[in-house]
Amino acid sequence: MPTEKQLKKQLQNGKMIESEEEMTEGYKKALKRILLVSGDTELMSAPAYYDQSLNAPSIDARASCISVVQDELGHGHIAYRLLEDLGEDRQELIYEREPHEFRNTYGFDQHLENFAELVTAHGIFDRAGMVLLGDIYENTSYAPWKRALTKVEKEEQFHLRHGETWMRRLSNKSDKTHERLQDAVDWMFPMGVEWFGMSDDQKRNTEQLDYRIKGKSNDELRQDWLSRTLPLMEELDLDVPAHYDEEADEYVLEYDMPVAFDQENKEWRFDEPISWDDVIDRWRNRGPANEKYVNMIQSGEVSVQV
Amino acid sequence: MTGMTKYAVFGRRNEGDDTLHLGTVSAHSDRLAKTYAYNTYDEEDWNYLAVVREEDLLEVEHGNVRREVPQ
Repeated sequence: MPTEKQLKKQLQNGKMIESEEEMTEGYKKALKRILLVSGDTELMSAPAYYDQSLNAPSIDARASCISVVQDELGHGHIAYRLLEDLGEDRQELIYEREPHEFRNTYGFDQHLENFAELVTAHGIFDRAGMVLLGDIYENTSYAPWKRALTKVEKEEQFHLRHGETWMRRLSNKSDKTHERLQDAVDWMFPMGVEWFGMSDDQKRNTEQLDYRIKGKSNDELRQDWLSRTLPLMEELDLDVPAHYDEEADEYVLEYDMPVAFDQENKEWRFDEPISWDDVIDRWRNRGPANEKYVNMIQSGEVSVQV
Repeated sequence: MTGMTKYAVFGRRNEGDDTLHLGTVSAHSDRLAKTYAYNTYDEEDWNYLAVVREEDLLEVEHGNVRREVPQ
Protein backbone atom coordinates (compact mmCIF):
# COMPACT_ATOMS: atom_id res chain seq x y z
CA MET A 1 0.00 0.00 0.00
CA PRO A 2 1.49 3.38 -0.96
CA THR A 3 1.67 6.23 1.55
CA GLU A 4 -0.83 9.10 1.20
CA LYS A 5 1.87 11.20 -0.44
CA GLN A 6 2.88 8.45 -2.89
CA LEU A 7 -0.75 7.78 -3.85
CA LYS A 8 -1.42 11.47 -4.46
CA LYS A 9 1.58 11.60 -6.76
CA GLN A 10 0.47 8.48 -8.67
CA LEU A 11 -3.05 9.90 -9.03
CA GLN A 12 -1.71 13.22 -10.34
CA ASN A 13 0.15 11.17 -12.96
CA GLY A 14 -3.10 9.61 -14.13
CA LYS A 15 -3.49 6.47 -11.98
CA MET A 16 -7.11 5.26 -11.72
CA ILE A 17 -8.60 3.54 -8.67
CA GLU A 18 -10.91 0.58 -9.27
CA SER A 19 -11.51 -0.90 -5.82
CA GLU A 20 -11.37 -0.27 -2.10
CA GLU A 21 -8.20 -2.37 -1.75
CA GLU A 22 -6.23 0.20 -3.73
CA MET A 23 -7.30 3.13 -1.51
CA THR A 24 -5.47 4.72 1.36
CA GLU A 25 -7.58 5.76 4.35
CA GLY A 26 -7.26 9.40 3.30
CA TYR A 27 -8.49 8.69 -0.22
CA LYS A 28 -11.43 6.65 1.01
CA LYS A 29 -12.47 9.33 3.49
CA ALA A 30 -12.29 12.13 0.89
CA LEU A 31 -14.19 10.04 -1.69
CA LYS A 32 -16.93 9.06 0.76
CA ARG A 33 -17.42 12.66 1.81
CA ILE A 34 -18.02 13.94 -1.73
CA LEU A 35 -20.15 10.92 -2.68
CA LEU A 36 -22.41 11.57 0.30
CA VAL A 37 -22.87 15.22 -0.69
CA SER A 38 -23.59 14.11 -4.27
CA GLY A 39 -26.05 11.36 -3.29
CA ASP A 40 -27.88 13.53 -0.74
CA THR A 41 -28.12 16.41 -3.21
CA GLU A 42 -29.57 14.22 -5.95
CA LEU A 43 -31.97 12.53 -3.54
CA MET A 44 -33.25 15.75 -1.96
CA SER A 45 -33.77 17.43 -5.32
CA ALA A 46 -36.55 14.88 -5.94
CA PRO A 47 -38.93 16.06 -3.16
CA ALA A 48 -37.85 19.65 -3.83
CA TYR A 49 -39.02 19.33 -7.45
CA TYR A 50 -42.08 17.21 -6.72
CA ASP A 51 -44.77 19.66 -5.54
CA GLN A 52 -44.37 22.17 -8.35
CA SER A 53 -44.17 19.38 -10.94
CA LEU A 54 -47.84 18.79 -10.18
CA ASN A 55 -48.44 22.46 -10.85
CA ALA A 56 -47.05 22.25 -14.39
CA PRO A 57 -49.21 24.04 -16.98
CA SER A 58 -49.77 21.03 -19.27
CA ILE A 59 -49.80 17.24 -19.11
CA ASP A 60 -46.65 17.10 -21.27
CA ALA A 61 -44.87 19.52 -18.98
CA ARG A 62 -45.95 17.53 -15.95
CA ALA A 63 -44.72 14.28 -17.48
CA SER A 64 -41.32 15.89 -18.18
CA CYS A 65 -41.13 17.28 -14.64
CA ILE A 66 -41.97 13.92 -13.06
CA SER A 67 -39.45 12.25 -15.31
CA VAL A 68 -36.83 14.63 -13.92
CA VAL A 69 -37.84 13.61 -10.38
CA GLN A 70 -37.44 9.95 -11.30
CA ASP A 71 -34.01 10.63 -12.84
CA GLU A 72 -32.85 12.41 -9.69
CA LEU A 73 -33.82 9.40 -7.55
CA GLY A 74 -31.82 7.23 -9.96
CA HIS A 75 -28.80 9.53 -9.64
CA GLY A 76 -29.06 9.37 -5.86
CA HIS A 77 -29.13 5.59 -6.13
CA ILE A 78 -25.85 5.64 -8.05
CA ALA A 79 -24.00 7.59 -5.36
CA TYR A 80 -25.41 5.45 -2.51
CA ARG A 81 -24.56 2.28 -4.45
CA LEU A 82 -20.97 3.45 -4.73
CA LEU A 83 -20.97 4.26 -1.00
CA GLU A 84 -22.26 0.75 -0.33
CA ASP A 85 -19.24 -0.64 -2.17
CA LEU A 86 -17.15 1.32 0.34
CA GLY A 87 -18.84 -0.24 3.37
CA GLU A 88 -21.79 2.09 4.02
CA ASP A 89 -25.35 0.81 4.46
CA ARG A 90 -27.75 2.32 1.92
CA GLN A 91 -30.81 1.62 4.07
CA GLU A 92 -29.25 3.47 6.98
CA LEU A 93 -28.10 6.37 4.83
CA ILE A 94 -31.53 6.99 3.36
CA TYR A 95 -33.93 5.96 6.08
CA GLU A 96 -32.14 6.15 9.39
CA ARG A 97 -30.54 9.57 9.43
CA GLU A 98 -32.09 12.65 11.00
CA PRO A 99 -32.94 15.47 8.56
CA HIS A 100 -30.09 17.67 9.80
CA GLU A 101 -27.60 14.86 9.10
CA PHE A 102 -28.17 15.05 5.34
CA ARG A 103 -25.37 16.77 3.46
CA ASN A 104 -27.25 17.98 0.38
CA THR A 105 -26.55 21.38 -1.03
CA TYR A 106 -28.44 24.23 0.68
CA GLY A 107 -30.43 25.00 -2.49
CA PHE A 108 -32.48 21.85 -1.94
CA ASP A 109 -33.40 22.92 1.58
CA GLN A 110 -35.58 25.66 0.09
CA HIS A 111 -39.28 25.58 -0.71
CA LEU A 112 -40.06 25.98 -4.39
CA GLU A 113 -43.26 27.97 -4.44
CA ASN A 114 -44.33 28.25 -8.06
CA PHE A 115 -43.65 26.74 -11.48
CA ALA A 116 -41.28 29.60 -12.41
CA GLU A 117 -39.09 28.65 -9.43
CA LEU A 118 -39.13 25.00 -10.48
CA VAL A 119 -37.93 25.64 -14.03
CA THR A 120 -35.39 28.20 -12.80
CA ALA A 121 -34.10 25.51 -10.44
CA HIS A 122 -33.61 23.28 -13.50
CA GLY A 123 -31.92 26.09 -15.39
CA ILE A 124 -29.69 27.24 -12.53
CA PHE A 125 -29.29 24.46 -9.94
CA ASP A 126 -29.20 21.51 -12.35
CA ARG A 127 -26.61 23.42 -14.36
CA ALA A 128 -24.50 23.75 -11.19
CA GLY A 129 -24.85 20.00 -10.67
CA MET A 130 -23.85 19.36 -14.26
CA VAL A 131 -20.76 21.53 -13.99
CA LEU A 132 -19.67 19.71 -10.82
CA LEU A 133 -20.39 16.22 -12.11
CA GLY A 134 -19.09 17.00 -15.61
CA ASP A 135 -15.73 17.82 -14.03
CA ILE A 136 -15.79 14.58 -12.05
CA TYR A 137 -16.76 12.61 -15.16
CA GLU A 138 -13.81 14.07 -17.06
CA ASN A 139 -11.20 14.13 -14.34
CA THR A 140 -11.94 11.75 -11.48
CA SER A 141 -9.48 9.07 -10.49
CA TYR A 142 -12.29 6.82 -9.18
CA ALA A 143 -13.20 4.69 -12.21
CA PRO A 144 -16.53 3.24 -10.94
CA TRP A 145 -17.85 6.79 -10.44
CA LYS A 146 -16.70 7.87 -13.88
CA ARG A 147 -18.55 4.94 -15.49
CA ALA A 148 -21.70 5.57 -13.46
CA LEU A 149 -21.79 9.22 -14.49
CA THR A 150 -22.46 8.38 -18.16
CA LYS A 151 -26.12 8.00 -17.20
CA VAL A 152 -26.16 11.15 -15.07
CA GLU A 153 -24.54 13.33 -17.74
CA LYS A 154 -27.06 12.30 -20.32
CA GLU A 155 -30.11 12.83 -18.15
CA GLU A 156 -28.95 16.14 -16.68
CA GLN A 157 -28.71 17.49 -20.25
CA PHE A 158 -32.41 16.81 -20.57
CA HIS A 159 -33.18 18.56 -17.25
CA LEU A 160 -31.30 21.59 -18.39
CA ARG A 161 -33.00 21.70 -21.78
CA HIS A 162 -36.38 21.30 -20.09
CA GLY A 163 -35.55 24.15 -17.68
CA GLU A 164 -34.27 26.46 -20.42
CA THR A 165 -37.23 25.78 -22.69
CA TRP A 166 -39.71 26.68 -19.98
CA MET A 167 -37.69 29.69 -18.82
CA ARG A 168 -37.86 30.99 -22.42
CA ARG A 169 -41.59 30.39 -22.59
CA LEU A 170 -42.27 32.17 -19.31
CA SER A 171 -39.94 34.99 -20.24
CA ASN A 172 -41.76 35.65 -23.52
CA LYS A 173 -45.33 34.96 -22.43
CA SER A 174 -46.22 38.11 -20.51
CA ASP A 175 -44.78 40.78 -18.23
CA LYS A 176 -46.25 38.92 -15.29
CA THR A 177 -44.55 35.59 -16.07
CA HIS A 178 -41.27 37.40 -16.82
CA GLU A 179 -41.52 39.06 -13.43
CA ARG A 180 -42.07 35.69 -11.74
CA LEU A 181 -38.94 34.41 -13.45
CA GLN A 182 -36.96 37.47 -12.34
CA ASP A 183 -38.14 36.93 -8.74
CA ALA A 184 -36.94 33.33 -8.90
CA VAL A 185 -33.59 34.30 -10.41
CA ASP A 186 -33.11 36.99 -7.74
CA TRP A 187 -32.67 34.41 -4.98
CA MET A 188 -31.55 31.39 -6.99
CA PHE A 189 -28.68 32.96 -8.92
CA PRO A 190 -26.64 33.94 -5.83
CA MET A 191 -27.44 30.51 -4.39
CA GLY A 192 -25.92 28.98 -7.52
CA VAL A 193 -22.84 31.16 -7.04
CA GLU A 194 -22.50 29.98 -3.42
CA TRP A 195 -23.07 26.31 -4.47
CA PHE A 196 -19.40 25.90 -5.47
CA GLY A 197 -18.18 26.73 -1.98
CA MET A 198 -15.30 28.61 -0.50
CA SER A 199 -13.05 30.73 -2.75
CA ASP A 200 -9.75 29.09 -3.65
CA ASP A 201 -7.67 31.66 -1.76
CA GLN A 202 -9.45 30.74 1.49
CA LYS A 203 -9.76 27.01 1.03
CA ARG A 204 -7.55 25.07 3.41
CA ASN A 205 -8.58 21.53 2.55
CA THR A 206 -7.47 20.51 -0.96
CA GLU A 207 -7.70 16.72 -0.51
CA GLN A 208 -10.29 16.22 -3.27
CA LEU A 209 -8.00 17.90 -5.78
CA ASP A 210 -4.85 16.24 -4.40
CA TYR A 211 -6.45 12.81 -4.77
CA ARG A 212 -7.89 13.90 -8.16
CA ILE A 213 -11.37 12.91 -7.02
CA LYS A 214 -12.32 16.08 -8.85
CA GLY A 215 -10.22 18.05 -11.33
CA LYS A 216 -11.20 21.71 -11.06
CA SER A 217 -11.02 24.06 -8.08
CA ASN A 218 -14.10 25.78 -6.62
CA ASP A 219 -13.38 29.07 -8.39
CA GLU A 220 -12.71 27.34 -11.73
CA LEU A 221 -16.03 25.50 -11.43
CA ARG A 222 -17.82 28.73 -10.47
CA GLN A 223 -16.37 30.47 -13.55
CA ASP A 224 -17.47 27.55 -15.71
CA TRP A 225 -21.02 27.80 -14.33
CA LEU A 226 -21.11 31.59 -14.75
CA SER A 227 -19.92 31.28 -18.35
CA ARG A 228 -22.88 28.99 -19.12
CA THR A 229 -25.49 30.78 -17.00
CA LEU A 230 -24.92 34.45 -17.86
CA PRO A 231 -25.59 34.14 -21.62
CA LEU A 232 -29.00 32.62 -20.82
CA MET A 233 -29.80 35.41 -18.36
CA GLU A 234 -28.85 37.94 -20.99
CA GLU A 235 -30.94 36.23 -23.67
CA LEU A 236 -33.98 36.21 -21.40
CA ASP A 237 -33.41 39.79 -20.24
CA LEU A 238 -33.04 38.72 -16.61
CA ASP A 239 -30.93 40.87 -14.28
CA VAL A 240 -28.22 39.18 -12.25
CA PRO A 241 -25.47 40.72 -10.10
CA ALA A 242 -22.58 39.52 -12.31
CA HIS A 243 -21.01 40.37 -15.66
CA TYR A 244 -18.14 39.44 -17.95
CA ASP A 245 -15.04 41.60 -17.48
CA GLU A 246 -13.25 41.77 -20.81
CA GLU A 247 -10.03 43.12 -19.41
CA ALA A 248 -9.71 40.40 -16.77
CA ASP A 249 -11.20 37.82 -19.18
CA GLU A 250 -13.39 36.41 -16.47
CA TYR A 251 -16.86 36.65 -14.98
CA VAL A 252 -17.06 38.91 -11.97
CA LEU A 253 -19.67 39.27 -9.25
CA GLU A 254 -21.09 42.67 -8.44
CA TYR A 255 -21.05 41.98 -4.70
CA ASP A 256 -18.56 40.66 -2.19
CA MET A 257 -19.28 36.97 -1.84
CA PRO A 258 -20.33 35.52 0.56
CA VAL A 259 -23.26 37.56 1.85
CA ALA A 260 -26.09 37.00 4.35
CA PHE A 261 -29.29 35.27 3.25
CA ASP A 262 -32.69 35.93 4.79
CA GLN A 263 -34.16 32.49 4.32
CA GLU A 264 -37.67 33.39 5.49
CA ASN A 265 -38.08 35.97 2.74
CA LYS A 266 -35.62 34.37 0.26
CA GLU A 267 -33.63 37.59 0.04
CA TRP A 268 -29.91 38.10 -0.19
CA ARG A 269 -28.48 40.98 1.81
CA PHE A 270 -25.81 42.11 -0.61
CA ASP A 271 -24.63 44.87 1.71
CA GLU A 272 -24.04 42.41 4.55
CA PRO A 273 -20.86 40.42 3.86
CA ILE A 274 -20.29 37.34 6.04
CA SER A 275 -17.46 34.82 6.41
CA TRP A 276 -17.35 31.35 4.80
CA ASP A 277 -17.55 29.93 8.34
CA ASP A 278 -20.92 31.69 8.66
CA VAL A 279 -22.02 30.15 5.33
CA ILE A 280 -20.99 26.68 6.48
CA ASP A 281 -22.89 27.21 9.75
CA ARG A 282 -25.98 28.22 7.76
CA TRP A 283 -25.63 25.10 5.57
CA ARG A 284 -25.12 22.85 8.62
CA ASN A 285 -28.20 24.30 10.35
CA ARG A 286 -30.10 23.29 7.21
CA GLY A 287 -32.76 25.35 5.47
CA PRO A 288 -36.54 25.73 5.90
CA ALA A 289 -37.67 22.75 3.78
CA ASN A 290 -35.08 20.24 5.05
CA GLU A 291 -37.39 18.35 7.43
CA LYS A 292 -40.29 18.28 4.99
CA TYR A 293 -38.17 16.88 2.15
CA VAL A 294 -36.44 14.24 4.28
CA ASN A 295 -39.83 13.18 5.69
CA MET A 296 -41.27 12.86 2.19
CA ILE A 297 -38.46 10.47 1.23
CA GLN A 298 -38.40 8.50 4.48
CA SER A 299 -42.18 8.11 4.84
CA GLY A 300 -42.76 7.47 1.14
CA GLU A 301 -45.84 9.68 1.46
CA VAL A 302 -46.71 12.80 -0.45
CA SER A 303 -49.58 15.16 0.12
CA VAL A 304 -51.38 16.27 -2.98
CA GLN A 305 -53.40 19.45 -3.04
CA VAL A 306 -56.25 19.43 -5.50
CA MET B 1 -28.83 -4.62 2.94
CA THR B 2 -29.94 -7.83 4.68
CA GLY B 3 -30.63 -10.84 2.49
CA MET B 4 -29.77 -8.98 -0.67
CA THR B 5 -27.53 -10.35 -3.38
CA LYS B 6 -25.37 -8.00 -5.35
CA TYR B 7 -25.37 -8.23 -9.13
CA ALA B 8 -23.08 -6.64 -11.71
CA VAL B 9 -24.97 -5.11 -14.64
CA PHE B 10 -23.70 -5.32 -18.23
CA GLY B 11 -25.13 -3.65 -21.31
CA ARG B 12 -24.52 -3.23 -25.04
CA ARG B 13 -26.03 -0.35 -27.01
CA ASN B 14 -26.07 -1.95 -30.48
CA GLU B 15 -25.14 -5.30 -31.95
CA GLY B 16 -21.40 -5.40 -32.45
CA ASP B 17 -20.67 -2.75 -29.78
CA ASP B 18 -18.49 -3.39 -26.76
CA THR B 19 -20.29 -4.78 -23.72
CA LEU B 20 -20.07 -2.22 -20.92
CA HIS B 21 -20.03 -2.72 -17.18
CA LEU B 22 -22.79 -0.29 -16.16
CA GLY B 23 -22.77 -0.73 -12.40
CA THR B 24 -24.49 -2.91 -9.84
CA VAL B 25 -27.90 -3.59 -8.30
CA SER B 26 -28.83 -5.40 -5.09
CA ALA B 27 -31.90 -7.60 -5.05
CA HIS B 28 -33.65 -10.46 -3.23
CA SER B 29 -34.01 -12.56 -6.41
CA ASP B 30 -32.72 -12.88 -9.97
CA ARG B 31 -36.07 -11.70 -11.29
CA LEU B 32 -35.98 -8.55 -9.17
CA ALA B 33 -32.34 -7.97 -10.11
CA LYS B 34 -33.33 -7.98 -13.78
CA THR B 35 -36.21 -5.59 -13.11
CA TYR B 36 -34.01 -3.23 -11.08
CA ALA B 37 -31.33 -3.27 -13.77
CA TYR B 38 -33.90 -2.54 -16.48
CA ASN B 39 -35.36 0.39 -14.54
CA THR B 40 -32.18 1.78 -13.06
CA TYR B 41 -30.00 1.77 -16.16
CA ASP B 42 -32.67 3.17 -18.46
CA GLU B 43 -30.48 5.86 -20.01
CA GLU B 44 -30.20 3.81 -23.22
CA ASP B 45 -32.40 1.56 -25.26
CA TRP B 46 -30.05 -1.36 -24.69
CA ASN B 47 -29.72 -4.04 -27.36
CA TYR B 48 -28.43 -6.37 -24.63
CA LEU B 49 -28.71 -6.08 -20.86
CA ALA B 50 -27.59 -8.73 -18.38
CA VAL B 51 -27.04 -9.20 -14.66
CA VAL B 52 -24.47 -11.53 -13.11
CA ARG B 53 -24.40 -12.44 -9.42
CA GLU B 54 -21.24 -10.84 -8.15
CA GLU B 55 -20.25 -14.05 -6.34
CA ASP B 56 -20.39 -15.86 -9.72
CA LEU B 57 -18.01 -13.45 -11.34
CA LEU B 58 -14.66 -15.21 -11.29
CA GLU B 59 -11.80 -12.84 -11.69
CA VAL B 60 -8.88 -14.20 -13.70
CA GLU B 61 -5.73 -12.92 -12.12
CA HIS B 62 -2.78 -12.36 -14.35
CA GLY B 63 -0.44 -15.37 -14.34
CA ASN B 64 -2.61 -17.59 -12.13
CA VAL B 65 -4.51 -19.38 -14.87
CA ARG B 66 -1.90 -21.90 -15.90
CA ARG B 67 -1.30 -23.04 -12.31
CA GLU B 68 -5.01 -23.79 -11.82
CA VAL B 69 -5.29 -26.02 -14.88
CA PRO B 70 -5.10 -29.70 -13.76
CA GLN B 71 -2.01 -31.49 -15.03
